[in-house]
Parts: sequence; structure tokens; C-alpha cells
Amino acid sequence: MSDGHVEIRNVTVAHASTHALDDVSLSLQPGEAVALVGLSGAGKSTLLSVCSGMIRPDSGSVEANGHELAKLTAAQLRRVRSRIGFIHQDFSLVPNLRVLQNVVSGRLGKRSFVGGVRDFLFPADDVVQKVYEILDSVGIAEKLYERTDRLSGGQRQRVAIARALFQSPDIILADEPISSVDPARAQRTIALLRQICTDRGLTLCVSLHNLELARAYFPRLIALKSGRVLFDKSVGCITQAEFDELYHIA
Amino acid sequence: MNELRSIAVLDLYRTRPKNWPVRISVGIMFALMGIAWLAGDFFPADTFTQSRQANVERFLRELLPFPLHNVDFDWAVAARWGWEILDNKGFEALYTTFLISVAAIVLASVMGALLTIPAARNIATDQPFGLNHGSPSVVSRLLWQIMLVVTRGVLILLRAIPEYVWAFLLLALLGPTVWSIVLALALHNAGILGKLSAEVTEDLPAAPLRALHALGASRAHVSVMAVLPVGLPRFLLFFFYRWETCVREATVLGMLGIASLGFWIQEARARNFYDEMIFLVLLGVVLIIVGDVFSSFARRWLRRLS
Repeated sequence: MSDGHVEIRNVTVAHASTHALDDVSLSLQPGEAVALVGLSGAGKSTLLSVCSGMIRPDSGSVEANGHELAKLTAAQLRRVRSRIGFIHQDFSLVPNLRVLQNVVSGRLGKRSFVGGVRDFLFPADDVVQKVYEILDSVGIAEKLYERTDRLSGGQRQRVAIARALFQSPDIILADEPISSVDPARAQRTIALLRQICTDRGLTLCVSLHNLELARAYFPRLIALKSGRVLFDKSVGCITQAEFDELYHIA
Repeated sequence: MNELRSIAVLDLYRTRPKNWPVRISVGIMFALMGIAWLAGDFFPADTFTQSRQANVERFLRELLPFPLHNVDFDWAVAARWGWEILDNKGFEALYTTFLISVAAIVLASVMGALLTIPAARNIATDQPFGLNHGSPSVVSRLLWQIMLVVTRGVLILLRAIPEYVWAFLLLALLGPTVWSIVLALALHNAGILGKLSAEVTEDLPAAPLRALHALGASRAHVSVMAVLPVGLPRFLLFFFYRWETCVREATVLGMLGIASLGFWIQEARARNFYDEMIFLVLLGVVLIIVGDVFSSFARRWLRRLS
């Protein structure tokens, strides 16, 4: 059973435009919940992009859902990606579309061109019903037909989560999902993500600035510093000295 | 030296950054003005001769509607004269001109839309939206590059040939049908719309497009579900702006022999009916003003929408 499994071996990314990674290895087990912590620029976003195949590493191998990403053709990569939900820092929704249309676009990776356009313009009743139920599970069911840019930041974030869920993913990756909401909402969002992924048995990996939330909600933390893994342990085993080193700016 | 400025300020002034392109351009501008003044021949002595003045006066007299020559001015007579022209050809010419412009801009935007995506550098590449797209292959990169160059080349060719020249060629090819003019306008404007839309597509906020591609959407999916909705207000802005030009050009191209306003203007001039000619010119002005007003309202509404 490889669904939900992510395996990264000796990955190095040296693009000038992104925060680099230096010989990073880690493994996410199906259904596991992991927080990625570290200072800005430590390579958290790059690592998540590598896991989802958005960035091709310069060396090392990435395996997601049992597929070695570097060996895939464009069409195969598309299929693997359709099983990985990615929640972007800025949510990356299409602003002037309805919530329904944004969520429906989550399953484009599994649709033909005509099928995708049909979902977009004339979604079938069962599709609308399914979107409604997913929106209900993230608490904004009544916004189904609202224009996305009329929603608040917190609501838009839930649309982004709903879109990822509509992919029927095995893995959910979230890049700083709470960087633009207030602390109370941040906590609720993390709790929601955790609960959804536990209920559905999805692998969850979230990058977080907020160490308190990471420790409170995730059993395992992976700390990145200057593109390297500083530690990768279950929360109980991490010493204060290790946290100090993580946030110590050289 | 200036007592009010301290040495420090003067030093800073001496070492301030200087914008040489601007200085050089201003220098060249003054030099050209001087040359033009000294060497130019703007108003040769025979511009305002007696005979020319007489010509202009006669022309202005002939602008008065023919039935009013040598009689007292009467609005009723003038109105009847105007109505007759309108009824005979004016309304039909206006209508034809309008139809030509609409048919042309609709065709142009369909062609332009089809050429937009293969001309947009962020989509027509082997690694669209800057994302990893499977194993990099030299062949696929080369094929995408060829497609981009060919599409951009077609767009340049379409808009580099002026409407008038397109019409000239098409009239020779298709014969004297209104489609020659419609197609001439459509081809030229397809080049312009395709290029402008491709630039808009390249400048769209990358995040929504990237996100859709990252979850497995194809280029075509992203084009329909993100590029189109996000770019639509700007695409429509260009559409109306070019439609305005099409109205104007449909009038002018009539002079090539198709029964739009331009044809009747040409015909009135050939018969030396200057009063009728100027009436038709003014009719064209009215049509263009109406088109401009409508299109500027549409564009203002779109700008508010986006």
C-alpha cells in the first residue's frame, strides 16, 4: 500500500530563484500528520514544492504515492499530482469565479478537456451536491454560489481547503496556510485540517511559522534550517536546546 | 559662490546622479528644431495665392445644399434635401458600415483568441507556468519554441499589413464582395487582438494559473478556467477599442467600391456633388461618435467590473 506515502532521498535544489535545499531526506507515512518548522527562507516552501513535483530537484529522488516523480512523463505526472492536494500560502484561487467553480476545478487533473469545461459551465447535480457537502465540512456551505473575491481571507482559505479535498487526494500539503489570518482563526484552521485528514486517513504536511501551534497539533515535527534538516522527531523528544538552535539566527 | 548652499550640499549637487538619455534627447530635440527652422520650407510663398483662395471660397459655397443656392435659407428645404439622401442611400450605407464592423471584429476576436494561447510565453512552453512538467526533453522544448515563433510570426504578419492593403489584395482575390472588406478588417485586427491578449495572458497573476496546473489541470483547462475569467475584462476592453477602429475603417474601406459610407462619399465627389459628399462625411462622423460613446461606456463598465 503506497497511497499517501512520500519518500524523499538526498534531495538538493540549487535554483538561484528559490530557497535552496541541501541533501534533504525524509519520509511521510500514509495518514501521518507532520509540521514543517523553521525560519522564513529555510526552504520549507521549496521542500513542499518538491514533494508535489512542482520543482524538479537537481539531485536526489522523490517518490509520492509509490511513483518516482523524475521518471514520469507529463501525463503520468499529471495523474500523480491530481492525488496531491496543495494549499498555497495566498490560496491561489481564481478571484472572479464562484466558489463552486473554484472547488470543482480541484478535479481537473482527472478530467478530459470537454469534461472539465462541462464541470466548469454546467456542473452535474451530483457534482454540485458533492461540492456542497465538502464546503459544509469546512463550514462555508452557504457560500456555494458566492463570488470568491467577495469572501473574507478566512473564508477564501476554506475554499482552498475545499478545492484540495475535492481532488480526493491521498496527501495534503499546506504552505503556511495561516500566515494571513488572525491567531484565533489560525488555530481553528489547523484544527480543521488535522481533523479532516484524520477522518479521511490523508497524509498531511503543513509548513508553519508558529511553533506553538505546530507543537500543539502535530505529533511529529521536521525542522529545516538553511536548507538542511535540523531535526525530525516526535514532539515529546525535542529538547529546548534544539528549538533554540532552530530559531537562533546566525 | 552661492552663500546659501553649504559646501556639503554643493558636493552632493555635483555628484548627483544624472540621467544622460534624457539630457541627450532634449539636446537632439532642440538641435532638430533649429535645423527645421533654418532649413525648412514650411510656408512656400504660393500657399496662399489668390486663385487658391478663390478655389476654397467656391468649395465652401458649394457645401450649401443645392436646392438652397440663390434662394433664402429655409430649414424645411434643407431637411427635405437631407432626408432624401438618407432615404436613398444614407441609412443603408450606415447600416452596412455597422454590419461590416461587427462582423469584422467578431471574426477578428475568434481568430485572435485561437492565436492567443500558443503565443503566450507562460503557457506555450515545455514547462508551463514555471512548473516542472515531467522529464525535460530537447525535442519538446524545441517544438514548443517553434510553435511560439510561428504563432508570433503569423500575428506580426497579420497586423503588419494594413487593412487597406489587405482589402486591396482580397478584392482582387474574392472579387467585389463585402466579405473582402470584412476579412481585411478581421485579419488585421486578429493580429492586433492576438498580440495584445497574449501580452495580457503573460502578465496575469501567476498564482491561480500555477495552482491549477499543479493539481493536474492541462494547459487547455488552465486557459479556459483561469486565463479566460481573470483576463476577460481586459480582453473585452481591447475588443471594444478595436471595434471602434473597425467602424472608422469600414467607412474608409468603402472607397474601394463596397457600398459602405466611404463608397457613397467617393461617388458624390466623382459627380462633383460636394454638398452631398460633406453630408455623408458628417454622417460617418455621427456613426463614429455613436460607436465611440457606446464603446467607452462599455469599457468604463468593464473597468469597474475588473
